[in-house]
Amino acid sequence: MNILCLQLARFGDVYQTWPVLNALRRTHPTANIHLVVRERFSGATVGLSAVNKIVTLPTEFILRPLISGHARVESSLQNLNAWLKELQGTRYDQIINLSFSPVSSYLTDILAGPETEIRGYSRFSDGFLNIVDDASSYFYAQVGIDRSNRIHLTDLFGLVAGVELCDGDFATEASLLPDALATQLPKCEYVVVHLGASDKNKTCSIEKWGEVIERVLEVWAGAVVLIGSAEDNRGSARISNRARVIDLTGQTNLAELFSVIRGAAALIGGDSVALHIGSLTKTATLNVSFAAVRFWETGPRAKGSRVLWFDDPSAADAARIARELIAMLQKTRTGHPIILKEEDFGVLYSLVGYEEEDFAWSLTRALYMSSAFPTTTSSSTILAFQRLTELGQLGVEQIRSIEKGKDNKLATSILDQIDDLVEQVGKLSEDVAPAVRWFRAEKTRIGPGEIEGILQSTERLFSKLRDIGQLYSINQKLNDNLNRENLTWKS
Amino acid sequence: MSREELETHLSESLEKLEAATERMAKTQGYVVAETKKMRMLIELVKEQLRNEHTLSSASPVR
Repeated sequence: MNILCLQLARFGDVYQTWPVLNALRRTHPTANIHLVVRERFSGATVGLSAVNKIVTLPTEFILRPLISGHARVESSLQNLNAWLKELQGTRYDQIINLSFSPVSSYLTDILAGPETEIRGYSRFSDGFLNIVDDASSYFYAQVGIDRSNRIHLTDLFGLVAGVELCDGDFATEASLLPDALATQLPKCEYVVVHLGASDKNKTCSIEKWGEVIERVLEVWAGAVVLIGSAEDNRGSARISNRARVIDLTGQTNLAELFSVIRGAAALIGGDSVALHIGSLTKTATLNVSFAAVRFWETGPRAKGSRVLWFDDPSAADAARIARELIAMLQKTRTGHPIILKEEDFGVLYSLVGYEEEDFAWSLTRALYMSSAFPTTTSSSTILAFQRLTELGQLGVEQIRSIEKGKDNKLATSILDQIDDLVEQVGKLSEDVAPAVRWFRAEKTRIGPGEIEGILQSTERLFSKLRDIGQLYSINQKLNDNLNRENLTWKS
Repeated sequence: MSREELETHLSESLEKLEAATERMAKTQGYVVAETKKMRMLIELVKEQLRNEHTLSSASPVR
């Protein structure tokens, strides 16, 4: 069996795909598994033993003729064709696209044969986006920084790939460090501090990390190992010039970080590639997280890990971070708000002292996971659902009108406007936004075909939208009409 | 090459690509392999213009 997996996002996403690849290998021990990654992020595949072949997408090579000043489209197409040949020589039984992007959807469509089972994004025969499976539809609609999903990305990747992850899928093989690095590691217990991240809004400043380290070393006898890029190294000297601090910034490649992090008592850092390595080496991690990141989706997975959340890096409290790290090392609690990693799969974290609005997530669970629809007393939310009911019913009426052959042009125009209005309702009410996104995603999944089939599928979808909204309209009506006489205490 | 020059070249290329792809799609349809590859090229260029190739799986672009 030949399986192709596409992961065209960044370092962290490649590492978050490792468990899925390990699971594919475990469930298909004799399969030929290929992985496509971007050339720039191929360093994150070193040490990945589950795949037979890694193919890198050479974006710069493909686009070079277009940026030379003469926009040579034919040459660029030739370069793309030359690269595709490497993959088109294999007939893939399954293509698993874990990239969720337009580029990956076209690549999947180009490489898929008539018998290929596709998971993830692809294209319909008319060129429009084809969201093949339910898990990918969930991803399309509900995953991202401004949304309410709480399922970890690695588990979502597993769902798309059709594999059930287990603890063993998060293991990696130990590798030796070069002597030059191994001799620098402390002989005593140490924690690893990752100074950097891909975005400065995802980590603390160097000075703040310095303050955290100073406070930790005042009360803890172990050592601190700093890791980060060459750019982090330019600032690390300001904080590493003290006893029991070893500065490895700019000295390690990604594969070597596995050994450094595996040997640590704990890892601490922002949302970064080191955090995902920590999940694979099973190193307890204190993730200092901010509003620019959705920790539910990309937080640490190792047992004993925690997330400490602040609005932004300027709000990060060094004393609090240091206290939490010490508590984590001692397996105690500080008594202050913290987010604990408690489950192994799915929704991993429990909020202790933090609050996050629950309605949107509860609605998401109702739409996709057969949970009960959440109640609300918010009049604006109820009104938004009433609008969805009305728009759903209007949509059903227009479809029936078209089916009867009446006023097709008018009905089609109204249907277009309904789509816009549903979108507007979602923008006005955050609470109903998951339902609006669900509707949009499912509408996208209605592909080209016989007109009768398309009309039936669209009518079913509008009916479902109407019914979901009606749950809240009916509740409100019952509430308003309930006779309250004889309900109160009699003296 | 400066970022502005790069963006100018890419924008010009994008226009050419989109025009060529539209002609191809009109005469041969989407299902032809070359049209699919042109569409993939278009999206690769758009990624560069949006700095999108560095975004994560959970980025909002669809």
